[in-house]
Amino acid sequence: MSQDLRALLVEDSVEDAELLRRELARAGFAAETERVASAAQFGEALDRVKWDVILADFSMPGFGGAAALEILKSRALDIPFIIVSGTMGEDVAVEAMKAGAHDYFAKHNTTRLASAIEREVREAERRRERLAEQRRLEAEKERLLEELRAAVKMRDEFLSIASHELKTPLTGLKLQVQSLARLVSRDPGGSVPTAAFDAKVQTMSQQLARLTRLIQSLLDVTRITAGDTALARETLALHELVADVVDATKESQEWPRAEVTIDAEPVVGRWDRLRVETIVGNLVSNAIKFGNGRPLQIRLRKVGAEAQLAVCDHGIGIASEVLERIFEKFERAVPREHYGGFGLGLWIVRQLVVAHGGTIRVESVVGDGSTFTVELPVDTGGGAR
Amino acid sequence: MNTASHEREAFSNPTAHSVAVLVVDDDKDIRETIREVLEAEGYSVATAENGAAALKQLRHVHPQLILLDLTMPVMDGISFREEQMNDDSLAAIPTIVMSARTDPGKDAGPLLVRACLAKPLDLDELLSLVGHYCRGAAA
Repeated sequence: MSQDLRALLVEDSVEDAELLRRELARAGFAAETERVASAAQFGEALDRVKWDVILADFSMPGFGGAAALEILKSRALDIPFIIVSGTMGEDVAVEAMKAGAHDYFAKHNTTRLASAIEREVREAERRRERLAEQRRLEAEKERLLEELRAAVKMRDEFLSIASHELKTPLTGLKLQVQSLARLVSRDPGGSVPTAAFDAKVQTMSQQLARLTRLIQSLLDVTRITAGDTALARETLALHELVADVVDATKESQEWPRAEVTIDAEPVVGRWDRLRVETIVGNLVSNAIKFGNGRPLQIRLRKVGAEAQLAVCDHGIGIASEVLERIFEKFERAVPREHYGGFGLGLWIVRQLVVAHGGTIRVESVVGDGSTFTVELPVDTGGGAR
Repeated sequence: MNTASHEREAFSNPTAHSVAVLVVDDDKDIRETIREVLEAEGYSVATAENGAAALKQLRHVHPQLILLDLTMPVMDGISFREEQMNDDSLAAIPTIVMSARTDPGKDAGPLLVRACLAKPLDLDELLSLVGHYCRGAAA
């Protein structure tokens, strides 16, 4: 048995050091040893080599085991430290063990030295492994904590965005309701024309529809985040769905009026109606919102086994450095202070497109507009869910 | 604060069309609803969908009061207010912020506005403030 061992000898006697070397060789160690006899040498040796064990005389003139232990402790080094001393009473041995030595031997009685070294080296290795594991766990904990902090921060920001967005339609609704109450209270005879009520009720219905849509998108996010993207596929004429969604989006009072031209060839496939309506609706409303009032073009083609839908605006466009980010949750290419919205629309679109086995990409030039292209597999096979 | 002299100035400016209130909000529903309720009380109302559009409007109309949203595209309420304060002919027009932000008072604080209303707005509060700054305008 030949075991590699780097042993640092703290020993003022050259002869005694040589005896130790022989002892180690006889015990079967292929030992790399070095003798030091001063604090400076000891410190320098610790800097230079990763020692497996330190064998130290205890009572040397000037520098000895006790001082060496001190240095070791101050450097927080965990190296097995074994006292091999010529003159050592029980009391000194106890003192040495208390100071941190792992074992001690008299120079004339070193028969168990080899097994003690093996044991202490093994123990030290185990301690190092435990420490590494502990550090790994701590780092993992720190990483999780960091993720959690980021998630909480994101949630707080989102709550603030959500409340802002929900308050906007609520403002119209509240003013209309209060003004209706005012109208009625001023008119105890009940002579307010039906048309006056009608107009207010119309506006209120629109605000309610808008609140409902906002809450729906919150539910979409909750559902998608929970991993619920099971699709209720049915046979759909995509060109008809696109035309309907564009009409509904244009009708909504939320966005400025925009001219939309649709160039669609008939594409029939099996998709989830509500999800595809959300995909198209979010892309079209985004195009209107960021389209600077310029006309939009929508093109639908069947390319191979895929429906290809392109929504093209000529608005503010998206800077190339944020192009990838815009599909992330709560991301937006423009400051929130300037454009409202949850910052969830494109994230929802991407999740739903992916759930359909499709892809989405965007090309954009700042100041010139953006084109979002969605490709959805037609999937007309009977095996569809 | 006394702004009567500026208001009189506005009335005496023959090129400016005088209205009671300029409503600046990017949300069309809110703009139109406020217009509706204020017109029902006899106030004349002009609207603008962002700060830049409001500055354009102010070349032609001279309101007695500006109702200003903060979060708007193109030019937000804070930038508008800075522009307004830097223009001697506009600086004295009383301005009230209305915002759905979590802490509108904090954001509007440095803008030196007359009041800060949190959305959803309360009609009575809105009418009482408008009545205060647009005395004599109501029918």
